[in-house]
Amino acid sequence: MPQHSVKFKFLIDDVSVKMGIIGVVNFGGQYNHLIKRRLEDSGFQAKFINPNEPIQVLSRELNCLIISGGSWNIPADIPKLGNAPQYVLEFPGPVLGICLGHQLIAYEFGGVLGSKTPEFGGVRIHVDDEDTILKGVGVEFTAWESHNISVDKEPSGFMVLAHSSTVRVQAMANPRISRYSVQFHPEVKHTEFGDVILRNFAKLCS
Amino acid sequence: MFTPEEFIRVITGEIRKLNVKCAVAAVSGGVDSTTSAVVARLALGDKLIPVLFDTGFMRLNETSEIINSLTGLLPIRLIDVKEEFYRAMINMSDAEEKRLTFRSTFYNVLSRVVKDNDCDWVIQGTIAPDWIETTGGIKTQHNVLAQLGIETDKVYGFKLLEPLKDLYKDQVRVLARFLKIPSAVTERQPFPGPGLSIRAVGRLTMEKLEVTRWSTRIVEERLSGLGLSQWFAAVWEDNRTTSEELSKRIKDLGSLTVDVFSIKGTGVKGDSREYGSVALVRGKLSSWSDAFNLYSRLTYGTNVTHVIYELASKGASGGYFAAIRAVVTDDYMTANVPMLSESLLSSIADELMSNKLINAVGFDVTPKPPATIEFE
Repeated sequence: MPQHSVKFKFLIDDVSVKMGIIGVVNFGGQYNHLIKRRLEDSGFQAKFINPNEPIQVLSRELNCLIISGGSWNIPADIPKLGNAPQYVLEFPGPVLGICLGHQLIAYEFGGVLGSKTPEFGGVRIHVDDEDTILKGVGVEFTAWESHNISVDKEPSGFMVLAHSSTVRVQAMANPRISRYSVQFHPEVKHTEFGDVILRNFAKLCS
Repeated sequence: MFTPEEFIRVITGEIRKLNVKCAVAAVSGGVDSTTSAVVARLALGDKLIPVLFDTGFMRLNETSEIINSLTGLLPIRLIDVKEEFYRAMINMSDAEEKRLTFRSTFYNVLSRVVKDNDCDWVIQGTIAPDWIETTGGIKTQHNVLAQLGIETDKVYGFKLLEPLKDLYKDQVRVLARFLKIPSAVTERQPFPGPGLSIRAVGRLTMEKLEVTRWSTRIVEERLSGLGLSQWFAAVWEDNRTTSEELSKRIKDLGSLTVDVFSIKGTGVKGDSREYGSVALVRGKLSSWSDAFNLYSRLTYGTNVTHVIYELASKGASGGYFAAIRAVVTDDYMTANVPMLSESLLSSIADELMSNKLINAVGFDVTPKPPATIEFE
């Protein structure tokens, strides 16, 4: 990826570039501050991003991006998401979608969403493929959820990494284009291995 | 990365730069407001006046316990404003209306104290989850103004300083321990600003308030020392109707019936506030551990925000229902229900049932989300 190496040279004097700066796109979801806090507690550098920020600015200043939760419904509320749909498709570095971000990634790449399987509170997650962002989490764990919309079918090119008893796509990845996403909230304390999942992603940023 | 030394160095430096004439610190006795007052005192010394309001919504003997535990640390002035709060809030029913009225009454009282003492600043203990929930529209925390764009200078005549506004509860506790604030304060369970006014759920009456105060003491005593994060009682009218639709959802878990109360409870679903139904599950569960899965059957795809499992009942509706609430959490952003034993809960329920005004007792088995920790 040529764009990557150019950016790396440009920022080489910046100490933070060794680990990368992670942008957290903020839709006002109540757990967004926790994402930033967890990343900083693990020694990574994170920064809130207003979804109206042009993608050129993000591509220049950030190594990777987390698109987090919020109260909007996908696809009905997509006009309220600023440039986030464009970030999902065009941001040059790795992108992690959480909850709403997961649904947005699925939708933008052609997956199918549904509204028949909401989940709240603790949910058992069954790991189908302990790969990329789910490395080191084992076969089963409890995650915390708060969603009305869910991903019923993953977009082509994505592999499903985990499911729950009612939701088929709890986590998915397309490493070829560096897109990763989870329906549950790895940033909240009650999600087991939440820190591991965020760290797995953050390591992709360096 | 948060460290108490660095935090204190930065924040006291910032406070000293503000050129404060005199500041009133509103202390509730909780860890947030106490710690913020102690931090501010490091920078302001005697220019800080810590006050404690007796709103009438405090727990039994709470004000004297707070003043005793802070002796030597903060010279607290107790100000009795019960009548003012009762006049504003008795007979009010809606959860948000109660919280908003509490807030406006609180700041009118505070504004008067600031003027009487010729001060120009107010220090308060707002922390991150307070304003995240308020600006997110989940519920109005009484201490959130600046983040909503309310200019306190113009509205109330004082400038507002919130030294802890970017911290979470666990970080505040680390800071409080570092400042040698007594463990009676640092390890105290959180208590909402509007106090018992929002635990007397639905229409606020003096009678309901006193039943709530009485029930709270019993639940707090009986569940203390178990490592819980927050535990208390909430009380409302025992008016309910049976829901066939909800009962059907759990028929495989025992011979159970689901009722829906006439009052509403606050929840948070998919990052949005929901002021929805409170459901009561009555009957015998095949297995006690299923009590802790009831929420996933009854809150998904419904407007139910809290699920209560009935522990004791005198029969037909009437009188009050007392709910036992207990949660485990570090940062209060999400919360889990501890798997307490049925025998412990039943014995607490029996004690509550000794009050002739209480008709039935149950245990709230709903995590956050979909419920919030409080009912309003």
